Amino acid sequence: MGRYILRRLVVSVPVLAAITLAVYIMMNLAPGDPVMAMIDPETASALGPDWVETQREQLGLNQPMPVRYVLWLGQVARGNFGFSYNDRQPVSAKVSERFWPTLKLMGTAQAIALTIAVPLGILSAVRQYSRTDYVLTVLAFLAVSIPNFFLALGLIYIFAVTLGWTPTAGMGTIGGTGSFFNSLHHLILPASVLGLSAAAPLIRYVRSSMLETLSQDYVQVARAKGLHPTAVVIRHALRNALIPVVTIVALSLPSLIGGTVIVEAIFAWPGMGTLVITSLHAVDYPVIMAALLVIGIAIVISNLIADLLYALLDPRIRYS
Amino acid sequence: MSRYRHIQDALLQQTQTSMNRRVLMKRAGMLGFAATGFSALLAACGGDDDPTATTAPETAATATTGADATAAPQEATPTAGAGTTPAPQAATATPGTSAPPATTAPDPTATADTSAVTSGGEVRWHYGSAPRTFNPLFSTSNREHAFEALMYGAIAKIGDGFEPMLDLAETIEVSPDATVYTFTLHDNIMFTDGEQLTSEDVRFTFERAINRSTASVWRGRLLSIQGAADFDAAVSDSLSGISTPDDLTIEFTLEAPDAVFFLSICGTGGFGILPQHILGDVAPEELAQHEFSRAPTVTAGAFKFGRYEVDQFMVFERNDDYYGTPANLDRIIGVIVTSSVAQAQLQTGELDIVPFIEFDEVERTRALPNVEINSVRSATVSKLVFNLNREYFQNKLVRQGMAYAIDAQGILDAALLGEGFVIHAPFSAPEWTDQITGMTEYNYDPDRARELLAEGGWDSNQAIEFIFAADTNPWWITTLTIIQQMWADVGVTVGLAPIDFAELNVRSLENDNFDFRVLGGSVGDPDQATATLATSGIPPGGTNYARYSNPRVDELFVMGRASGNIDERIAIYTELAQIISEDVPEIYLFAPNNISAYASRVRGASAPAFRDNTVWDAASWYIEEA
Repeated sequence: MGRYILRRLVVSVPVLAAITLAVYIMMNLAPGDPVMAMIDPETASALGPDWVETQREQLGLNQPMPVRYVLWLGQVARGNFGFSYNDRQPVSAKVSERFWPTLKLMGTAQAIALTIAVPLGILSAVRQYSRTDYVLTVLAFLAVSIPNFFLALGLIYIFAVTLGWTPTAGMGTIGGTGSFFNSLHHLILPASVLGLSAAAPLIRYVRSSMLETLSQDYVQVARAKGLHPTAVVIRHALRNALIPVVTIVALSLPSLIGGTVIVEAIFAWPGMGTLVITSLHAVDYPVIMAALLVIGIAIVISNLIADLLYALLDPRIRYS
Repeated sequence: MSRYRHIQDALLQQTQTSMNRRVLMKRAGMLGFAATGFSALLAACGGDDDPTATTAPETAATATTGADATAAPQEATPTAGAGTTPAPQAATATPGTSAPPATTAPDPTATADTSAVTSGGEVRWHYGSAPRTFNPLFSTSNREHAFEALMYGAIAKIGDGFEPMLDLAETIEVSPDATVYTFTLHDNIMFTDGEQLTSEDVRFTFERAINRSTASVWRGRLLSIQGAADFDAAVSDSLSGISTPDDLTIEFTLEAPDAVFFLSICGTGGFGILPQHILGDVAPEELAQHEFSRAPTVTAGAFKFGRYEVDQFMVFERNDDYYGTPANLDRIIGVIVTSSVAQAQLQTGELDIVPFIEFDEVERTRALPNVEINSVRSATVSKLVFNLNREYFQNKLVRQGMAYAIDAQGILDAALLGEGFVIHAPFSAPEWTDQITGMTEYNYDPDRARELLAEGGWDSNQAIEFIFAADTNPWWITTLTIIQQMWADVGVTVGLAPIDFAELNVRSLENDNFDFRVLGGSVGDPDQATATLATSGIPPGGTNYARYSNPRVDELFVMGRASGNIDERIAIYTELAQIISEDVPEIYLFAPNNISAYASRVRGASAPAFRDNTVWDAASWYIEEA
């Protein structure tokens, strides 16, 4: 197992390097210039002919693209992500200060999604074609169909504006102490939006997986032996039913790091999604590259975790 | 003749009869506004243009801050709601007069009656997107300049109109040939760490801005200072054009007469002055990434830096050691949220000021209890730009026909609720441009449009398209959709092509690959239209998107920039506007008002013409709880 993990990690290094190269090339092919993105063309033109040139020199943009990529890669290999073109702050600081807020939001959302989806999915499967099943199915499709931004604004209107139960946005009360409960108060709405959106498809996955498992012979045997229906579902069926769900959840783990642009923006949550989108607008290569590298690493690791969880859940799977 | 003209004439007369400053300002106060022949030029501070005039104005200039407590035009009781407080105290700089001595240290936040003003509390305003930096050397947005002027203090800054006002400087004196500008600072300005702000700090800030290694956004505006080129090339250690005879006096000597230099050092908000004793040892190329640029803890403005929570909010605390009257509020907080959430927060009371309300939100916002809406004339020019390199646009009859086919007033009423006014020239501010008349007005006339298009040989099978930024304001989309229909009625088929902003600029500047583009922006002075209409601005390198070239127009722009006389400027720009309106390189639509919302509890505030300049008067804000 140890050798397997090591081999997977070693293989992922060239994969990550290839990802960064592809992203770097694509970014450079896209229209836009980091210097011109800082300022509108009228202002740049008025600032004198050499302002843009000075900025380009300072940012190292006057070098050819391959040279810039190699220099960047060399820097990253030494643990230095460089400085943002946009505000000249260290990229590592910019990424790290958004890393935990993103993890906090997305982790809570994922927890909410699982808490809702697993029991409701099981319920829906166990009571197939019942009124409960139909209601849950309709609700799940409804939740899948509602765009995040609409749900977010709707929940803000109901719970923040009309009822006044939650704040409209932010990670904590402005000027507040940042206590746990204050933080939780601010987390409820954005995490619920993301959690509900993620729960909807998961309910369907759990339901279909559970239905398949429930029709297996060993489950029928367990029932024939007279076991309590709950024990049959929880102890015999659930473990196998969760294997495909684990895949879905594990593959969604990178979003824990990558964040979500729209919900973060609406709730003024300082996450990675916002960082990536503002950096894209600003053609801020160093920040985009660092963020994508971090997300790429998360994808590689989450795939590995998914494979390892298979082995844990299904004794038939062995890695050597 | 507008009231501004009367004021200008009156003030000129006053200064020429050697009236002392106090009496002069009192007269100005009676007139309600302090304006001079320079006022026309000063308004250019509203944009980011590089106003570098090369010829001398007729006379020298003098200016004093209008903040003299006994003479400034303040209303008796500053309890009116947002948008109704006294007019800004514009700085005056009139060529042709000698400088009167600065006899008193004016109080920059003085009010005529402070009995109703309360102290304490906080006001939260909607800031939009996160700031790039807190260092004025590197700020590229007008919104950043505005809070930096408040936090650092600037020699001069823009108020709620188009005119600048002196801030850290108490007086300005301009030599008769407009080559030497002398500012005298207030004598008691202290940084928040107890050090005095002196002329050396001003020199340091300007030298850093000009130094090429700093890569400051201000550099291009300041190259008219004598020796700037040598300093720039690291030939010289110090700038010969900046001298500091004493701690309070800073003198700028220019390479050539420059009637708009005062504008160059103003900016929309103001150019904040940095503490030399803190940053003096930092290499210019390291300033941008220095911790100070993220948390400037030593400043001299009415508010000081509190804290910044990334992408969430920024807090500015009252500076109790401010050299003028300390601010009324304990703190102001810029809240970074999307505009839709800002609307919700205005309703819940989490936000007090939203500087920009979309037109389709105005009625709903107006209905909110305890919120007041301000609609203020802006300097924004909304226009459609032809690509004159397109063969099918080269006949001006075609362009005129297309202009006649647009019902600009109808669109203004429908899409912008009538909040603004139709324009016929490439500028709409300052107010004295209202006197510019005689342009060809393309009032909606579809029959005339069809005639002209036919006469101009327009091929109705020719498909053309508008390119515009995909994230543009909703009212622009509505406007373009209506124009699309209006043109279809006269046989012009136009498609709408929303594209990425970067691509928009690449296509319209570098690739010359467009028919029409949409353009909107602040033109605070007619001189700023040079960038889009003078031959020198034709790409590459410039922003004359239309590729318009007319030697007479070029001449008029040069003449207008060189003149410090307002009558002369009106005559120059009248001729210019008439030529442009006949040639139609661009179709001018309207100048939309800035619509902002202020909670009723916020008092002492005046909504600005430049919407990014919301905090210009934050020192005088106070809370009046119901």
